[in-house]
Amino acid sequence: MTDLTLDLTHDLPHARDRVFDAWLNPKMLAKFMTPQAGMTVPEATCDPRVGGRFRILMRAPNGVEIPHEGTYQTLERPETLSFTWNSHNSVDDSVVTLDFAALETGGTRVRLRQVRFASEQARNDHIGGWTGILAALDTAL
Amino acid sequence: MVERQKPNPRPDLLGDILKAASDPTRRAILTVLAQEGPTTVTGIAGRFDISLNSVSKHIKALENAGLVTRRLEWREHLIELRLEPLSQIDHWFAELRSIWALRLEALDTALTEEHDDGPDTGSDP
Repeated sequence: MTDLTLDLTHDLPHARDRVFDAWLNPKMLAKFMTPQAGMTVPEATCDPRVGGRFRILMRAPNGVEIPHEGTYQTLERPETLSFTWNSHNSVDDSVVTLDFAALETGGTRVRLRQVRFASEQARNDHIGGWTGILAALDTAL
Repeated sequence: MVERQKPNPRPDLLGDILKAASDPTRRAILTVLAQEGPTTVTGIAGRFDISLNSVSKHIKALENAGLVTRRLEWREHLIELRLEPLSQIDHWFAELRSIWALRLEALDTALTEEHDDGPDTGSDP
């Protein structure tokens, strides 16, 4: 980890349009936004336009409900999708950006980035970045 | 595994840490401490074009979040970086990463099932 951006890439054997659309389809969201066995999504709604909101309610196996919600910032089918992402216990101002690239095999490469403090970082990338601090941390541990 | 469902004994420690570190001057102070080890308040202030008073305020904010500690040595306050809370950020990121990775795998499964059910044919070659 070099800064406060989470960055991961995943290849899927499905066409790009379908992969993109799944992120805006409540039925599909209910199926895949379940990061744990036994977890369910009893409620998912979305209003897929720039400025529109979505809400995904996750229910853990122990019954605890964790609402996640956000606002769409970019909708460029089928290349890019970005939205703010908040869960009730997390730090605000997190932005998730998804880039979808078509692969020669007919599949799709999904790149997911989640940025904290997007505004400060853009403004002040040159000073006081996380890189120095965390490089030191890596050395220390 | 659920994002911040039952986080820590101190409920929003991570939030406190991130908030304290969201200020660029405070991050720069942390970087100085990481690179140079324990430093006096005046030593830190000498590195920035801001008043001693506002450096003190920044250090207090970092102290409250547990990111630095201070100790008295030769009548001077020495400020020292604490790495533990930073490793919590690291840990939290690793967890978040695995959550998203699992979601992307679940997306794969969901798309495969949708295709098998056949409501959405013709979009694949």
